[in-house]
Amino acid sequence: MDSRAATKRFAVVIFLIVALAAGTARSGTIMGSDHDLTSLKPPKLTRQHPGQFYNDYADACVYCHTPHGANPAVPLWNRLTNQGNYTLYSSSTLNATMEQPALGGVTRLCLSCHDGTIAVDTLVNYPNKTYTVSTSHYKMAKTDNPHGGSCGFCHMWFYENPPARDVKPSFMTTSLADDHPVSFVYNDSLAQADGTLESPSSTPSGLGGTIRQDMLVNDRIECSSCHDVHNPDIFPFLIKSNDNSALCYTCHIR
Amino acid sequence: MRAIGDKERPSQKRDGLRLMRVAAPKGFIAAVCNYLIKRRPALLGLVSLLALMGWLGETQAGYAPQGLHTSKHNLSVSGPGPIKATSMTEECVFCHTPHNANVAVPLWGHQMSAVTNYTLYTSTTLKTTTIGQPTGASRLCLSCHDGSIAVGAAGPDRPAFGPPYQQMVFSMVDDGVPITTMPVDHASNLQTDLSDDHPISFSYDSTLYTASNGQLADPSTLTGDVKLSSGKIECTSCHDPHTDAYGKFLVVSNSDSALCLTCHTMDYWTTKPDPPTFTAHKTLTSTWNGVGQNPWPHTSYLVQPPNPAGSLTVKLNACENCHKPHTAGGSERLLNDLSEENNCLPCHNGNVVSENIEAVFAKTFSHPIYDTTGVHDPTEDLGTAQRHVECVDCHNQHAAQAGTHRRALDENLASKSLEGVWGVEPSYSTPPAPAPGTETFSTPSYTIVNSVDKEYQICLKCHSSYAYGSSPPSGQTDQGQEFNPNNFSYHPVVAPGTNPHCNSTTMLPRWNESPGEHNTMYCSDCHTNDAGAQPVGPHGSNVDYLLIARSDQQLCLRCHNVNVYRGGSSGSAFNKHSLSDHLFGYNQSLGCVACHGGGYLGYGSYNGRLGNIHGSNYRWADRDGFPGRPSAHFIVGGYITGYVDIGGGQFRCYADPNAASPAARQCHPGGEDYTPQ
Repeated sequence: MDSRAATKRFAVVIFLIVALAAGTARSGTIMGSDHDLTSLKPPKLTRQHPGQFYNDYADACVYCHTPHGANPAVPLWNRLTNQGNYTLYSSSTLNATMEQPALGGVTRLCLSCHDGTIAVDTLVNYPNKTYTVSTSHYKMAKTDNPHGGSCGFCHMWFYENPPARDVKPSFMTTSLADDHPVSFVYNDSLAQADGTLESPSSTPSGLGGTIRQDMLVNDRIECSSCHDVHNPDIFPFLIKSNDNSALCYTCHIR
Repeated sequence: MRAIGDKERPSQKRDGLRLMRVAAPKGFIAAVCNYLIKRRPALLGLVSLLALMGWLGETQAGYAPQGLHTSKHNLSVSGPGPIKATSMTEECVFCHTPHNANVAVPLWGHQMSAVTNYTLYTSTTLKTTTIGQPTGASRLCLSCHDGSIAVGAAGPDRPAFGPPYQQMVFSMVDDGVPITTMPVDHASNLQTDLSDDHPISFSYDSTLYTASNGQLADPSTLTGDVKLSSGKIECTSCHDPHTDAYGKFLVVSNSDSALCLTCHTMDYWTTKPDPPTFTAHKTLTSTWNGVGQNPWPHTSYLVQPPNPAGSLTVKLNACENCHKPHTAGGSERLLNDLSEENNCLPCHNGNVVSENIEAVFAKTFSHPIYDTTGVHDPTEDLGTAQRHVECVDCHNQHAAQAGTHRRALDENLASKSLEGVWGVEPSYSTPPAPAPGTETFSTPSYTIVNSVDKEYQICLKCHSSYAYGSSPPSGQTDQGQEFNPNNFSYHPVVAPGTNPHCNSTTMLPRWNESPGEHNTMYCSDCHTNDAGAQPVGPHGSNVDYLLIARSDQQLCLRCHNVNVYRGGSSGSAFNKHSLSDHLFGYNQSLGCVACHGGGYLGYGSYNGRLGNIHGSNYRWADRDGFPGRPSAHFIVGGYITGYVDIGGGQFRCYADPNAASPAARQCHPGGEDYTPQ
């Protein structure tokens, strides 16, 4: 065995150890989390919703994914997505160029629930042909007529104290002006122009690689830069702990 | 060293000051592993080198890391200030939220204040017309700093991060004591009265720039750290809430008031006066000697690197010697103290500058600076204002320089301590000829002088009809009328003297040249600190009328050559007046004012018009068939009751009006008459 092969084998071993460690750390599962839209699963133990306004498909994955006929194909998406324009964040101190969330991009997929325009149980392929979704089905919204399709009619701090769930923090509306900007290129020249942003190509994300490697999608900040939709371990679905504002400080120099 | 999770922050560059942060080991190791896996040993070496350089940089820089984490605005449980959370570890969350912000920009998460009726700053010298209720970033700051909202209220309808759901208001302490709103004993609690704070939320535009008449910088020059927000001055123009590198979260150091002077381009302070030297308030490196009250209670924040400990000086304080940008004692113009003089005396009491002006004002007689508060106004013209005096009526705090009584020996330009003060210049006409036994004056017209050349221009703005019209205050006379060079006699204050007898023989040096510019004098040659003590000037004196002395010897004979007036000098008009005849001494036997300028209405006393010594235009009544003389040479002394021309070039003085014979009523009962020379 030449030394190059030995080095290669050693590297593979290290990789497996690191991968295993990472896998252990990311032990969270979507099952039973707030992103599991089925009912009656621990630890939520929510009561059955009336099928009239909300379909319990008894399958957590199907609310977002389908093995066939997906749109877009990646990530086998099973939901309709809003094709319209969003009101974007804008600020006099913003150096980035804001863009509409890309059609088919991850942010637009998240917004297919979180902008409140499409009922949360609306799918491309239903698991059973008996399911239908009418306009009266619940969308994520704050206050609305309960028969007009609003989760938020009940699931808000105002109506429940504390609420079983609170849709307010995660209901974005189609105005993203009051939300952290997404869908913009975050590269080293932006960091330099802004002066209070870390270099994404050289600054570690804290997750093993650089910000660019671990947090950006095609060099862009998207929802997935901060959120891991499948892992509820770090509330609210964060990719890393925000203790001491560590997540914020990953990019922001303050 | 800062530890925020596994965050690695090898370095940070801000404002040209390299602020190093050490790499957290966890992040460093992760980075090493990452590159090892990808088999990039060269990059691994580079990363290691960079990390090492970062660590060394931290060691050598010598500055504590600056940024939110180390500032009082880190309200999390790890915060360094007295006000902090009891359990919340996040730092950004007290102000910002990533979603559904209360105010979209800048993603504001703190509950906003509901106050809409803040008391606004107002001033007679305020040029902006656009000042209104706080807007923009200022409202964000006020969501804590007006003291109306709980410091931990990170969102009115947003539950704190859970689960389990926690209170919406993070629990906070002040030095361990639970609080909700910002305690009132914190200076940073501005409360809802903003009238004692620097104005905010007004447009700083070309209109204001023009209206400021050069007292504000062109807003287009604000391209540095001091910034406008939507064209307005807001809290963020001066403060950067995220970093406290200079104290008070200022955006630039305010050493020498560099921050203030970014916008404020004060006459004399910013603009070079002529001659091109600046006020001592800008240049003096004097420190407080530690005695008495601290003259600079709110500027200790200026003493930090690179300014060494104990380095707080007049120069370093600059504007803040007198002004306080927040919770000012004197709201209007943001003065340290409401009482005008108390902005001057804390330094001018011997504890910062050696001359103790405060002690002089404690003398028996003084200019009444303590008598009024809130009457003085920089925009006043005194022609209509209530007559008053404050330090700044005679001194321009933005222009005053250390000055001697007289700038130079051969002129009478106002002292440099009077630089930049406004005054009035009289314009004279000849008074009507007085009938025998009467005195006539003409009232001059006055022109305002923005920056005086002569000291009298300051004095006359109060001590003349300019201030009080035709009715002088009780016991006072109109010096504006008296110094009229068209009078029979006048001391050469506003114009050179014309008396040919004031020459090299009769006058002491400086006054002994031919009549001319050199022979003009100051009001403060006579009216000044008594006994010639320092500091000079008409601040206070133990002699009434703020005179330098009571005795002729210390008053008149400071300029007039005693040898002329002492008896026996050959050729002297006073050869009959020996020292024993005319005892020198104010109000004792015969002094100078027994015959000169003591007032024409009385005998053996000074109950006449004392202002005669400034100038006199009296014509004596005819007597014993002889025509009365004009009061040349101020011959209106308190001892004289008559003064006539007896012909042959001889004049006769009358004294005691009660003596039996006419001869006895003359000054010299033996009948000796006066032959002027």
